[in-house]
Amino acid sequence: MVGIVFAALFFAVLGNIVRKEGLPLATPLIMDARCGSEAATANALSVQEALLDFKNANAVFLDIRPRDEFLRGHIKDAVNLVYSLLEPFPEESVAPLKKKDKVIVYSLDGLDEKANHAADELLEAGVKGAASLSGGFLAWVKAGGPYSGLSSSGERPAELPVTQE
Amino acid sequence: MKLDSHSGVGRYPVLVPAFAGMTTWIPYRNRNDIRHFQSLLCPSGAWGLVMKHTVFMICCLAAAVLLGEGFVLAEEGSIALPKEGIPTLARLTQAQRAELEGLLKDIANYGTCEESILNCLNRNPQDPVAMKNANMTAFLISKGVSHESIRKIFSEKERFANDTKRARLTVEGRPTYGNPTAPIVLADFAEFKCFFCGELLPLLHKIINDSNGMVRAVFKHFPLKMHKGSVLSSCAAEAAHRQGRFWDMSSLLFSDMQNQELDHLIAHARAIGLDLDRFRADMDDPGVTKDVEKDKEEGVQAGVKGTPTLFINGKTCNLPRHDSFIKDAINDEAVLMGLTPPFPGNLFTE
Repeated sequence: MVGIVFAALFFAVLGNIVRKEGLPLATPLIMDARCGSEAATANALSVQEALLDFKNANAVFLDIRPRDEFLRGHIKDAVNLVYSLLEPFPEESVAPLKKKDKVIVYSLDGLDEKANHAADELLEAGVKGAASLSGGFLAWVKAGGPYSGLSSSGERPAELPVTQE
Repeated sequence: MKLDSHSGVGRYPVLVPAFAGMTTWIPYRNRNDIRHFQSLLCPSGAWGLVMKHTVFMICCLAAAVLLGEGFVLAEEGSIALPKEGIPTLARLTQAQRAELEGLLKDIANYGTCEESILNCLNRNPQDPVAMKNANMTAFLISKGVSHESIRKIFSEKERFANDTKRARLTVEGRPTYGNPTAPIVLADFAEFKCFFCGELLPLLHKIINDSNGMVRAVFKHFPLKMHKGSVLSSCAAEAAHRQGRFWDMSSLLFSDMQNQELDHLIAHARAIGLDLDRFRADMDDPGVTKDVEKDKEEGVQAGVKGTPTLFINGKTCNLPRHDSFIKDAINDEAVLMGLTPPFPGNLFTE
């Protein structure tokens, strides 16, 4: 029995080798093998969904724009954590976010895709509640979401627990 | 052209598990004989275990191929396609022709006729796009590529052909290979610690060398955070670009992706004859980092998530990274632009 099996296997291998159109016994046809493309993909929340989360005490809004833009206007009680395309978020800034139910990342209008990338990065770093806000700050303001900043009421922004200059 | 594929599994989906399942019929006594035989072939330990499984899987697959060939020869197929326009047709067995017919009925054509490829050929046997697509399908079948992969390729080809969204990418001042005024621009978002990027670049150079000055490649930096130190490598390439030696530096960087610390980068700069003082000064220049960041920002806005990501005149191209597929997409783009395709003839032959 064993002899028959191995004889069959031998002829099978030999047959494939001598065949003109022998099948490649190699790797699968991978069309889009890329470095970094298997990273986690965070959800994109609509403004309406984000407005519901605004009432959740354990949710935080994360403004990833440069500090000066943040100061000009931002979602009320949002935290400013500047996003860099070249350097990852500092671990000490990410750690407190891991304790939150939801971390809603936004930029000005979402068109630059940075909020999506930042949310993906946070998800990858273990922030399970990371999501991005579709339409960004402008969509939030348009929908009547509460916001603060020098441009809106002239008030000083609140002290921010997590910042990165 | 060589294709890596899981064609055997695709063509004979039943036979492989069936053959593998046969082992369960072997009595335990004889299974020990197999183990003894395997132990003669392979050493013990983890490596031995891997070898044993590899040998066994190869044997199963080869057996399935041999058995499957019998089925292929026994099956009957029927199709009437223009042999002149589809040279690969002559190489197909009857069963493969039947496979081809099935796929051509399903896969959508693009261009002037957007029905199935078969319908388009029936309407106009000289439809150049349908004929080209039929030939490509026949070629892929002849290479044993699975139906799933073929459908995926055509889905991407159709998306590429009909994609009206074009990313605005800065090419002025960026490292360019080929004729700097070539009308077709391949923008390659890549970094120097990514194996796939290292594989794609020589392929792009070959395509450009074959294009008779109609195509150029532009390198766009996209250092990934997951690869520590990739920003430094990108900056080194950018600093070399300031001395006109970007491609020489990129070749060296891709040749050793593990060793890209500052000392290695300086050694590379010395090896390609750069002015070292200037190279060091440029490495410290925030403007170099800014250029790298600007490239990445454009990539992020254009939807790039990983590397390499290739754009042909601003349209993403996710086709397999073989020169025939990329050349074919470039030909399609040239037709859209009203230009003569730079790569004439049948691209899918061997």
